[in-house]
Amino acid sequence: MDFIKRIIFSKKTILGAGILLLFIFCLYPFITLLWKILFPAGEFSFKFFENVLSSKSTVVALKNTLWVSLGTCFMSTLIALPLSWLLTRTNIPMMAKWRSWFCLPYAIPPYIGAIAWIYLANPSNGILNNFLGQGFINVYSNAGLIWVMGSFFYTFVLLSLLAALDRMDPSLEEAARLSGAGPLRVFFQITVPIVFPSLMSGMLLVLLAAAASFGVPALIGNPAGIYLVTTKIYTLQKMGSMNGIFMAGALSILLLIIATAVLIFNQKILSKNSFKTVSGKTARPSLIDLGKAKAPLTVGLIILFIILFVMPLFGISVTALSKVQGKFEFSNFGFQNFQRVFFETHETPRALMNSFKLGVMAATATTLMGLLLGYINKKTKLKGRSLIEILASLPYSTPGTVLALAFILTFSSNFMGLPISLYNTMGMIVIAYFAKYLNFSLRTTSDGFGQIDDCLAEAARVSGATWWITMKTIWFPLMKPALMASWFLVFMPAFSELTMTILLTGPGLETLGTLIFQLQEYGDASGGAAAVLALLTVIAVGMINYLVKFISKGKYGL
Amino acid sequence: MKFGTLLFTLLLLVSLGCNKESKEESKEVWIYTSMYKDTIADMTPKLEKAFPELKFKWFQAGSEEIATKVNAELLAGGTQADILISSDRFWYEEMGNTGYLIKFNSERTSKIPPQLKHPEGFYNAVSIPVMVMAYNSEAINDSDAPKSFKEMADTKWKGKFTTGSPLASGTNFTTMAMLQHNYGWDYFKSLKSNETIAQGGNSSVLRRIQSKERPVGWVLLENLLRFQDKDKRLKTIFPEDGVVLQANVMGITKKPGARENAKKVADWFLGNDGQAAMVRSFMYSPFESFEPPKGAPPFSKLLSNSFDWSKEFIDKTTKIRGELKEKYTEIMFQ
Repeated sequence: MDFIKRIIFSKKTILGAGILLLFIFCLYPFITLLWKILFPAGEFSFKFFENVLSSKSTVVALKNTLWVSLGTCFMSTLIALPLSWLLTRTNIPMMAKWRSWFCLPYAIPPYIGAIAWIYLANPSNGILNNFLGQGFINVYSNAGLIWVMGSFFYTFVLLSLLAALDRMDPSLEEAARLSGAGPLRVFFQITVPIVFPSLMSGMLLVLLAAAASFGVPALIGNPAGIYLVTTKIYTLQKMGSMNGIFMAGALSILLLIIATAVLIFNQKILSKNSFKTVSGKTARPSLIDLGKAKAPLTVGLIILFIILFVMPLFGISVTALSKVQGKFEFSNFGFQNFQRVFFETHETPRALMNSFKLGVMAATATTLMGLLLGYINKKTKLKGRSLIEILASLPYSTPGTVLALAFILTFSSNFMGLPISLYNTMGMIVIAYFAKYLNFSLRTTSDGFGQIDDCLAEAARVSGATWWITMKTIWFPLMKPALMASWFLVFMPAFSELTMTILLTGPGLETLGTLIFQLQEYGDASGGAAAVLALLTVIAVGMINYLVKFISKGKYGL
Repeated sequence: MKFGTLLFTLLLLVSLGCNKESKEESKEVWIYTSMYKDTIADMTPKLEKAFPELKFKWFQAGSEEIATKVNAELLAGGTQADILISSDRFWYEEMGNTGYLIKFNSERTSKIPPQLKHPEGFYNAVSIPVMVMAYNSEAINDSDAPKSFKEMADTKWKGKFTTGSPLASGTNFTTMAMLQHNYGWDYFKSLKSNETIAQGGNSSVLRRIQSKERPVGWVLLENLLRFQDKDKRLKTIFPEDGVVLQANVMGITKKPGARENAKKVADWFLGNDGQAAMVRSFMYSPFESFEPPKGAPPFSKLLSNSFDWSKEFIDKTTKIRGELKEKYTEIMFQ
């Protein structure tokens, strides 16, 4: 028994299992897809790639995607970088609350934001334009698209930066300050270079997420005439023929190749700048007194929060409360939509439960996997370990519909010759979420491991601890904040995922996301039920977040 | 051993999630449909009563989602669906031609008018949605309201018109194909320069009309009938150039073994209970003996002024379905 236990908990077994799972879930589905594209009728053919590459609109789509993604990335950084400084290094009032509030948009699916912003800022009769003059703000534009995506994706950069700034040893900053450097100079010359890997990692996530996202580009990009790669993939997939599906797959693989190139480039840069600044003991940074700037900065913070969060929420709330859309009369407001969603739609409780279960399973599995892979990535000298990050990024940078397709092809029947079918089961959705969000988890844990110096583990080993004991007594406790962060980073988007779920779901497997979509696009007579569910999603996520914060006395949660 | 316990629980949870509810395959009937949720909710108890020995599994999504799902399933080795009911008739033509559907003919199907079924029986219409136009009378005076599909190409309607997306909705694809067949691509180029928003399914079109983001749109009559008592601002237009009749069609997939259960259920949809449920959901029945839906004109009146479903149109559209969507995307979305 002891022998078996030793084998199961040996470093090689556990790490090996981790790498095997990574291959099965993050690479194998793409190989299956590529195989079907290259051998459509049993014979090798390059025609789908040729068709896609020779089309003029592919070039247009690639160019647009590049600009929109870069724009979104730039905007996200512009919001997140100053915010992260203000919320970790200054004496701004109610710092902890602001931190939590500004991270909340992370938990809301961007397509809900798109619906809200169309409501607020469409050029014909958006609420804002009713005040500012018709057509003053046009959400159907490049700027609008970038704004809406950026107003959600900035949280990727912000979360990444906040975590890094919290973990970072502040003595370097203090040394600079004592030597007479001003607060801004300290920030840009000391702090930013130290957290640079985290900043890059957050920015890269935004870049990949923007290039692979579909909801916002469809709702805002189509009316604006902004044609993106995901729009093209969607069109091809919706042509309704097998050829269309293959061409969509071919284009996705192109997108993957580009994403991989970006990732490798990033790794090359980052390998030159990495710092270990956590040594097991933490010190609180001394906060900078904002002095006279405190009042205007606080006001600025409030305004930013209203624009980013309160206004879209207001838009959704008005929709949810309207008996009939588009009527601004007091008599038109009521709780009819709520009643219909909660008492007359029998799928609602089941969808809530399913979303919760899926979120928990995906988050737990992903976080455990993140712990293993992060360890391999940062704390072993395993050959080819730099591939881990790239492999984990593949599903993330693939549009959800294509990922779902690859998963159906791979896991429906005869998986690697085994008679296993996950099709139309919750297991299929869980592994799809697992693959899609592993990247979040891996980044968080890698950042965590990267900042912890080896000296503690070495001390354990010198004292005679096995690998498993070291893992349990040193790494696990030290990594706990990173693991909890990772769990939330996966749970929240998984809770309301839509694009993949819509193709993978089966009878009795409704989730909040698919229910919102069905009510929004097909089944809802008065048009408010989807908004009610969207509001419910925001409230549920917020409540879970605060519950966890309350129980853990503010240590965990957003 | 907390870690181990956690791992174990997780595996257990996942394996529970993967357990299929039942193994009796022949007694399960899987129906993939684009019919609205309330229609399904209305029908299910009656179906279960009529076939107590069978278990019904529904998958509801837009027509084009269903096509994508079924195509992916076929690529992976076979579809789970037994019965398909959705509104992209041309997809059924292709499915029939490529051998994925079986022929289904019964006494009831023989009473369906020939233009609403496949000549050999690969599909039959179970209901007839009708594409009309609508406007919001709060934004547009009744006297100014448009009168035809064609008129919407006029610059007078710049920034006022909305449709669904042919990529998301089968009825919107059919309408697009019909108007393209009759008016050519120039019509859509004009719609584009008029800043027409073409997005989502019919419910979202209606929402844009209600919110006045775009006060005029083409939309299914059934969506408007659902609102006849709730929102008096919505006015229906029966276009002078004709309404676009759709066909919600039903096909039975080819699978090894007998298909008797699937056929029995398919025939139920064409019987009294099935058809009455369609009419209650504000769609016309393909059988003359049924009354029109509540608040709708008689079918014969619509039929007399509708776009023509010629054999030539069906064959052509089936063949160039992908190209039509691609060209449309190029014009409207780029």
